Amino acid sequence: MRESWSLVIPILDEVDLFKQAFPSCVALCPDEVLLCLNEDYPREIVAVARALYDEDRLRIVTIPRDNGWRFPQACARVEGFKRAENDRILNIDVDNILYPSILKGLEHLGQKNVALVSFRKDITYTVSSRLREKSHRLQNSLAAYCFQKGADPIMGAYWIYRPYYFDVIDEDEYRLIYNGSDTYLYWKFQQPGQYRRLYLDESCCRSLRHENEGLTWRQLEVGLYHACRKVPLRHVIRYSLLNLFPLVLKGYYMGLQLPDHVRRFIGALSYEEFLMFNDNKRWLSR
Amino acid sequence: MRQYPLMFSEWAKTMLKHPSFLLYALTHSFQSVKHRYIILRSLTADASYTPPFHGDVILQSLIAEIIEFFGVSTFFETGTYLGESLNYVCEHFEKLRIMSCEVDETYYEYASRRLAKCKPKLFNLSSPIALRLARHFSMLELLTLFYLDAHWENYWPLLDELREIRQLKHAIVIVDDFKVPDHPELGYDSYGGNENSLSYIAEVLKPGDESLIIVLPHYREDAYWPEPKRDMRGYAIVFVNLQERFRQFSERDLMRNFMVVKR
Repeated sequence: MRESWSLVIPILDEVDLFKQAFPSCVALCPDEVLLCLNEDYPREIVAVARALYDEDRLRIVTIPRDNGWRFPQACARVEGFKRAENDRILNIDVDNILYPSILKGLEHLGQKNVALVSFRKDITYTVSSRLREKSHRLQNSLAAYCFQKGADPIMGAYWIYRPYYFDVIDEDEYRLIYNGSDTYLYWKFQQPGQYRRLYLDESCCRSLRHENEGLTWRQLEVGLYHACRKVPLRHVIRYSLLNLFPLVLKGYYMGLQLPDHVRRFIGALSYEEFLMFNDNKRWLSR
Repeated sequence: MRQYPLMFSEWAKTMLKHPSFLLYALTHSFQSVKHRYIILRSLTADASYTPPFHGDVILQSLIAEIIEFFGVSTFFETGTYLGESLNYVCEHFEKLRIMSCEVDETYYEYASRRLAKCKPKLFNLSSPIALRLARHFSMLELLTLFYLDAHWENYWPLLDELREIRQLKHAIVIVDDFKVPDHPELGYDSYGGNENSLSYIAEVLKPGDESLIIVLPHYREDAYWPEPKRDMRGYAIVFVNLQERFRQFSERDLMRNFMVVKR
């Protein structure tokens, strides 16, 4: 008999995405669904959910506006995890169409100190992102073959085992991030600790959105960080060409214009810290 | 720290022992070579000559108790130097977020390599700048224990560091090499005719400010047991906006070795 589990979905106002994605969640028969919403959420979301799923097992978690968190999505997730009835929880983004293969993560949770199980995720591809994806997969296969180590990202859809999860994260620290709630988890699991995460190299869902990495400010952010880390220009050009990210070069140039002490400071940070603890989105979107 | 005499024979021996140092000496400035020489000597001749926190076991215990009792999240040291104290903190407090800044490039490089395994955050910056940027990057918002030990040639950044720290919501600060009244056995620093003392830091940590609690060591005679009494350095501990918790903390046994300063 399989263990009971809860599904947590943080939602801002994406009614259309929810309508498209929620049926795939219902098809997996979760024992409980928690929709984490702002106080002034669109009522249509709840109507859609009630039409598709058992009302008794559907729970609406409302998140106050002034909640002391900088990144609303992180707050919504943590609140959902706390309110869930089960310790085994699947967290997804609102735009994720789930594949049945995602249930494979359930059996690993809590075993051998596994606190989190993540998967590969398909996205809605453009021509360039498709090429990039192929290139990444090739690079990962090569890395896995040569160094026995490939990429193991956390991308929106993952299982957590709650007792371990809350030992891994530091909620006060989590409140401080501006961006990258998945990055925060990735960063925390890199640090020494008792609990570990597992990456299953299998596609578990498809996102209805395009990739984040292609966003203007994300490309600038990568380039700027490269400049602060004193990465040689030829490597940045190669990266930019291989990934079809031309704005990385602009970001690199912007990085070179920063005062020396700021460059040195950012250069001493890990990329995850730079991404999470500075409001790069606001800064670079100007 | 004890300075080794810069004698030619000693230099020659060191260069023969470390060919890379010879190459370095031929291609770098005298000041830079001198730094590297001191580092090499400290590692090869007498590795234990500069123990963490001056080898003061009471200070080490105090740091451990502060971290545990107050739930300190971050340790920030100014003046990494050879990384002795930082190494100690890395080894003993695995879960802490550890940061340090060192303005001198040679020491910075050395400490970076030495501490590569435990990966503290090291900044090759002057301490007030590093503190300002760390504050901007929200790295000091959770309770941070500062260990202020930076001094370099003519610039003594202590007051600037304290100004930056005063802007935080709360903090615990240990000011090293501090003059402790009535304890002449505890050494302290002086710069430009100013003693590192209560009257000097009063410019930033104003007397009468109720958000501050300043504590000084007041070791009893038996506090040194079983270690013999030896060259010790003074220090001050400043608790910023932690009055309530300090009241509970002051009831601990260890705190019998300290006195709260009335200002």
